[in-house]
Amino acid sequence: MNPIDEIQLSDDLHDLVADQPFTPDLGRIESRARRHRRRTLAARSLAGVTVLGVAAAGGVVATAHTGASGGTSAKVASPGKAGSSGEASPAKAETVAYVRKQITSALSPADSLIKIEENTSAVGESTSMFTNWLDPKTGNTVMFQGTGSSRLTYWEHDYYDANRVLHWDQTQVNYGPRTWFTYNMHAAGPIQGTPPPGPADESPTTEVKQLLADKNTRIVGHPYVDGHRTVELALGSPKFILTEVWADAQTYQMVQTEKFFPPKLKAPPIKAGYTYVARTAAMTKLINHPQIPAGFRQVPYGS
Amino acid sequence: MSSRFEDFREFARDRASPLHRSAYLLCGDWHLAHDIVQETLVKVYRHWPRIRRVESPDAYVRRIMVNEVRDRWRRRERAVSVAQFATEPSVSDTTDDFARRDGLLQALLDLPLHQRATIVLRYLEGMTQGETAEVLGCSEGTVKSQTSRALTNLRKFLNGTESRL
Repeated sequence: MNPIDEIQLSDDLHDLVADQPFTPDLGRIESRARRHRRRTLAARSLAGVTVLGVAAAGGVVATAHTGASGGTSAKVASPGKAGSSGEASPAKAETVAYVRKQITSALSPADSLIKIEENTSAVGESTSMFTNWLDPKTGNTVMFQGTGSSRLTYWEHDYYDANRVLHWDQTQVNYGPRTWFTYNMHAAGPIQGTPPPGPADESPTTEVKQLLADKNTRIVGHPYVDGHRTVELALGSPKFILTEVWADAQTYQMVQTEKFFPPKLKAPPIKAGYTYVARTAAMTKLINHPQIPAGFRQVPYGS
Repeated sequence: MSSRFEDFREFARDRASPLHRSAYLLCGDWHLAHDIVQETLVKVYRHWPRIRRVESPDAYVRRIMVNEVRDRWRRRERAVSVAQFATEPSVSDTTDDFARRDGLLQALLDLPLHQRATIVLRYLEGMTQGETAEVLGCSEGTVKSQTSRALTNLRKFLNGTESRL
């Protein structure tokens, strides 16, 4: 193909796509991105408590102590050894599939609330933190970010209405201008069949399964993190974005996640720490029911 | 909404149409292209504080889009319908022009995704070999060979038409 032909090809391609205006739905994009981000964070944090149930079924994991990254030598205890430290357990490989199954089977610690603290630093900006609280029973979240005039509180609530139509409700309070807004999106029509039990739509269960289903998931070690001996998983391709997950090696509760970006982006990693907190009436109410401070003015969405 | 994302909105408004056009040539369906661009921009938004600081955010965003197309291809969500496209010709098209473009689109969609992406990035977006390599995450040599193979395949597919290719 000579250069003239290549020019003709370029002209033809442009003709093929001519006169097709497109305007992105920015409200939907921003809403979906925030919702997805929150769900992903929440999903990573859900694990562990129901490991006791697994123990009752005779399958609790008790991992071998390697003390550092790089090994995959965890063992599985024989039935009846729940709570064992695992050093003397019969050898059985702690495979990715096994860890994935353990985490997936422990996704709804209904007696706990989950607190996630994450840094939001970007290159050239000072590091800031936000705290996200999740009620795994409802899937609702509330996020606190900033202090003083930059303080912001953000609630998210997904649910099916009586007509099986999925809704996404968001409420945001901005302390600087002393304003708040609420935004509701809903699906175009009802879902087929009966809505699934538990949190609606992109539930933590769905998200964590998607996260762990990454074909590149691998166990890379058992380091100590924040006083926990953990199983460390790496997900994704190092060439693009790599996520590492540390879960308690015995309870499978999430301890920390860290997302690394390619060197080319020169971006610092995003680190998130997880704490499981006993459910209280006050905190449960705060997560599930947006609370607007007195005197704040309602403004349109996006203001 | 945080003001830090105001520049995202500007970026999205500015880039959405070109992305939409490229997505169409990668998937062959305007509605699917719409979904792909929306999903691409969702991912861009999620990483915007970092993306806006990279040297070439356009390359990064196009890479996300190509990956999104690839993912959907793998999930068998392919919705290519040249016949559907053919029902909506431009009013300025003559029959011959339309037949040629119809053939070109079909030939393009029959290419492997990597070759198709190479053609779209180089001949629709006007990217250099280096820029195309950056988007596709491969070497310039690979872009060169993929372009050559794609053009050969296009010529082969279009041999039966009145294409000037």
